[in-house]
Amino acid sequence: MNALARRARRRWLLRAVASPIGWSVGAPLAGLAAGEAAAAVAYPAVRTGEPLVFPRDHGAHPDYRTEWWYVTGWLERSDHRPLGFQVTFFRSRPGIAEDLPVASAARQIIFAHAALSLPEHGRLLHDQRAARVAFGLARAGEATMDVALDDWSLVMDARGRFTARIRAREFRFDLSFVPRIAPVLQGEEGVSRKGPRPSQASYYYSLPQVSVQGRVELLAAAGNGLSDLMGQGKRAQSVTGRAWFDHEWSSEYMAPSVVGWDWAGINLRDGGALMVFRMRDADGGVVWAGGSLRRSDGTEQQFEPGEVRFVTLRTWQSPRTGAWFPVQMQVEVPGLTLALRPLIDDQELDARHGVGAVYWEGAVRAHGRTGSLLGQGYLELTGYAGRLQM
Amino acid sequence: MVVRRQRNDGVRPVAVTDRSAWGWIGAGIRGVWGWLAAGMRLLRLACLDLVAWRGAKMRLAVAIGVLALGVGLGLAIERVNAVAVAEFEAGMSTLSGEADLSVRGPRSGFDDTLLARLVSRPGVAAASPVVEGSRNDLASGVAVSFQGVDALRAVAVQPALVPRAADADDRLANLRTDAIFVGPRLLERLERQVGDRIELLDVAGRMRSLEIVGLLSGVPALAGVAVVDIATAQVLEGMEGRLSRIDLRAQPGVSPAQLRTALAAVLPSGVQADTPDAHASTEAQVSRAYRANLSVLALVALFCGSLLVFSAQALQVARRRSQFAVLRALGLKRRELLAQQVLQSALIGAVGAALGLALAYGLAALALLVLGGDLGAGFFRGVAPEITFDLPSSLSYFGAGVGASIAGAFLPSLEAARTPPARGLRPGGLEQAWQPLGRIWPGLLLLILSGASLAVPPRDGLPVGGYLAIACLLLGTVALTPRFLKLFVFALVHVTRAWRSSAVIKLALAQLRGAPTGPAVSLAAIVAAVSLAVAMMLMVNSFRVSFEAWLLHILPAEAYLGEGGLRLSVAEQQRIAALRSVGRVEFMRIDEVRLNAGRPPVTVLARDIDPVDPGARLPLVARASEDVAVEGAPLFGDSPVAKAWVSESVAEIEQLSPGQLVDIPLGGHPVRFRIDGIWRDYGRQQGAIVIARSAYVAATGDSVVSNAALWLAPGARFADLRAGLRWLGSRAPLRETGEIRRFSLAIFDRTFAVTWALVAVAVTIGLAALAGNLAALVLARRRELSVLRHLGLRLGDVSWMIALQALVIVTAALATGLCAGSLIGLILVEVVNRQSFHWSMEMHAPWGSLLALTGTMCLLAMVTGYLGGRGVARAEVVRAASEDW
Repeated sequence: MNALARRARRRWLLRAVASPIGWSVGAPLAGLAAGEAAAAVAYPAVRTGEPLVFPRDHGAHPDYRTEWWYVTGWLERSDHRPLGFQVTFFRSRPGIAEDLPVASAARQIIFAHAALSLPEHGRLLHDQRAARVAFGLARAGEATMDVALDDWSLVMDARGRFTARIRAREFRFDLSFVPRIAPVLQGEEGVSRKGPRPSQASYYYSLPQVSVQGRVELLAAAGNGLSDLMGQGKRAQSVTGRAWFDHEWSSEYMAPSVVGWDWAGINLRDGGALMVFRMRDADGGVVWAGGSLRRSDGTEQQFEPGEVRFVTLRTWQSPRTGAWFPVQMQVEVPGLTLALRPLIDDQELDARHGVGAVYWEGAVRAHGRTGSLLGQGYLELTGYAGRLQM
Repeated sequence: MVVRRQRNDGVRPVAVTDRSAWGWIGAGIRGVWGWLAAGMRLLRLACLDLVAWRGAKMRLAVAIGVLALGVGLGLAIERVNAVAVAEFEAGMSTLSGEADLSVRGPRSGFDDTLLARLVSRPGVAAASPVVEGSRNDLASGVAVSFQGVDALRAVAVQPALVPRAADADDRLANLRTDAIFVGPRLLERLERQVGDRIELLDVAGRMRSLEIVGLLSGVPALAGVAVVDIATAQVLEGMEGRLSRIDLRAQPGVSPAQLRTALAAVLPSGVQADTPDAHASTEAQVSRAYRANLSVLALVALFCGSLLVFSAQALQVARRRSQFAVLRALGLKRRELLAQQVLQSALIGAVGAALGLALAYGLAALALLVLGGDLGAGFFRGVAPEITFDLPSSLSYFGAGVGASIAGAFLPSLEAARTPPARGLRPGGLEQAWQPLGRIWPGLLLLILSGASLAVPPRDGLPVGGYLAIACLLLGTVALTPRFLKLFVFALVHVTRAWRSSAVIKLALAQLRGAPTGPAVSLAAIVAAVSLAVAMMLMVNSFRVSFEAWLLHILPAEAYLGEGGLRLSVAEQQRIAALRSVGRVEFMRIDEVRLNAGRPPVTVLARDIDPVDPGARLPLVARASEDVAVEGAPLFGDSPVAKAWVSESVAEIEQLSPGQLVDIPLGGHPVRFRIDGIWRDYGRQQGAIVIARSAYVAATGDSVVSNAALWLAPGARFADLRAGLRWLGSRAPLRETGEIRRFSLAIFDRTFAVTWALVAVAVTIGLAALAGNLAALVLARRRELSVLRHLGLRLGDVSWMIALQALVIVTAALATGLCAGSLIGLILVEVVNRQSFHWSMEMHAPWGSLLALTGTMCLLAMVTGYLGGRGVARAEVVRAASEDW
């Protein structure tokens, strides 16, 4: 049992994506997951014994209730200064409008979320989109990874390379990703337990250590104060870096007692990759935990709930929401202890004008016991500004 | 200053001022204070002088009342129009929210792939697709107008169309295909509550049950509509894969105009991008001519009021000539006398105008309640504005009322002030005062001007030339009235000379002939009122008769199907045609297309029509010549061009004539048609084009129809037909032709309710003016009457004489008014209506109403004259004869 809560993390993000538009799909999905509402649609269950097949399984699984493609990573500008980025595409089958035989009915909904962490200014730029799969504007192809929403897209080519194209309000980026290792199948051959009940599971695989190359541009809407970010007053710059890719789909959500979770995915400098998470209840207790370590030699280790530990090193209070986040954490798994330090403190996404989802998603450096830099990745902290399920 | 009031027998109270006091002012202090003091003094003087109206309370009251009526009506119409249009435009732009541009196409919509093409255009920040529609609630029959939106896209452009569900947990409500958000006013009409369900039939006749999940609250303009998911709207309207509208937001730094230019290349034929404001005003433009005409009529009411004030003032001044002469002799300066009189009339005007303001807001509220914001014309359905106080318009109408009163008093007062005291003191000099008004050239000039202004072309769709012509004609007629009366009396004298007429008749005519100008001046108000009443009656009657004839022509079948956005598939069409009770059926598809940006859409009626004999179905007013109209002749290229028949509006607005070619955007492509004829259409002011249904189907591939005209089979009864169509259920109520006609005429009458109210006001003014005029006539003649009595004329003779004089005067006024009114009516029908609404009609005189009007006025004149003459002749024999002259 490894990456239990990934799904929960995404579910929560789903709500965050929806919230800025004053309207949310995330919450009812959560409600459905918690068994609070009966679904009129029979969603397929996640079962073991059905091996993942690529590139087919890079593509969408529209029968399942929810699915996401998720890329986070560190970028380096030409002067070696870092940037953090995040691109997420969600697909949701909310179980409504299934009976109306019209192409435009909202049977499938795509959400997308993109963010850029700017260390010099301590700012996080972010933007989100949502659309139904209709009018030829939003799609989630089934043959391979091919999700798009207006002019945002995440598409894989025949050679297994993929590109993210984002046109946000304040920034744009076109990033190409080249996976360097085979997919890491999380949990039991890609079936990942999500909670105490065996039915709480998802199909989940990761592509760590993905090479990134591309171009990032800051738009005028981001403000003139940011013009030096790309050096010599340039607004656009070529970047290179290392990313972490997740793809996960399922029909059933996690335990209803969970209020939030902590998650981290770290690309280790020696070529290894660490993923850890814990699900917290209202009292801060751990409901479920898990993770995996892929070593540079290619061997993999999955962690049981009792083998993963998070220790808060430093908290930071958001000036916007007043929420306290443990932005500096120590994660411990058998044989490895990492101190995670944020690229910048303020990587909070405040999306309260809507359903009120607030979370922290940020680039972190991972240091060893001696303080040496062992890796870089992303930390996700949710449920710190009230219960996510609102 | 010393003011003494004397009261002599037979002499009106007089205000006399002490000369030294005026001297003090005259010597006076220059500067503001001095002027202020002088002003106050004049005001007091004017107030004191108001006492002079004591003997003419009725006349004063009538003058004030009519003035109030004029101001009230004018302002009420202005207010109702203003708030209705503001509300209408606000509603239109609320629907489009923060959109910079709205893309609209024909009523049948456009392909939804256009959305993807627009979203990918540079400069587009957000795009929100909308499907508009309206279906009837099964239970209550109430029409539910809805906007079908994609909530996920609408939030960025029209957040008002993405309301929250009442159940906060139902966050998917906006995407549910079985959910509907309803505006509070609509909810009230539906008699439902949030949480209830409503059943709507989609175009295919399937019932769709929707749960009312929330209110469209907070936006008054949305109070009468509903919001559903776009997929639901597409199903309800049978518009799968099609959109009615796309609202666009431009990226920062891109102007709507730039965006519009950038999009022009992508938009299919017949689909246009416009700013929501421009669109709203385009839609409001449809009613603009109607509103302008109403406003002009209201101004005319104000004009009549001021004429009445004028005649009241004039009579008053004339009667008090000798008093003025005394005042002048006592040292009141000419300018002061004039100022006093003008101030006085301003006071009277202010009272009248103030009453008018109160009346206006009351009337406006009432009109909104009874007739609605469009004053019954049906332009702004679903708009429920509230009357708000508006300072500028209130002030301007108040000013117009005061101005009219001052204008009415100025000329007589000027004349009175100018008259040397010595002459003014002499009795009988009354007629001199009217000398300038007897001049003939101003009236003639105005009449010539009236004719000339008919040549002025309409501006912005408003018939300014027509209005100008009516104004000049009216003023010219009024100015020439004294001359006309003189001529009339002269003619009468000559005619009666030939007969052996009685002494009473001879006396009556002789008296009138002696001094006709005085009464003639007060006649002006009657003439104006009669002209207007006649003109409006003529116009409305012509329209109504033409409208009835048009209805007969346009509704040849025995029954019709086609309410509530009916859609009949080909199979259903065949099923109807196969009914045994149906002798003949003709189908029609109604669509709307946009020929030009910035113009309201034009209705396309694609119907089963015989291209060789279109006149059997359409009231044609022009047709292409026969040689051109040979069916199938390859006159234009190799393939024959289909025929189209355009309504008069389309022909005039688009400058089209029979035989010409026109491109009509159908199915996203321009399709070429040849105009075979022009037909009269009172139903769609923005214009309509009839084409053969086969041409529509060929161009769009859409063979669904929205209307059916049914003829019973021989021997079949209506009940059979009704039974045969039962399977349609409540999708399409079957309407008998007579029912439709009655309904249409009821709408017509509602539309003209305000016009009839104005006719009533004009007639009231005419009658009031007549009564006042006769009272003045009697008063002016009282000394002569007493002399006649002394000479032995019996009371009855004197009364008859006055009655005869009244009849002569009113006949002259009626004759003048009828002539002028007919001319104005002609201008209304042939110029104003044509230029405003682009429709023609035949002139039809409302003989009955005209006869009633003239008869009433003649009778009233004689009765008033007789009774008035009797009263005066009886009471004043002694007193008047003893009056010191």
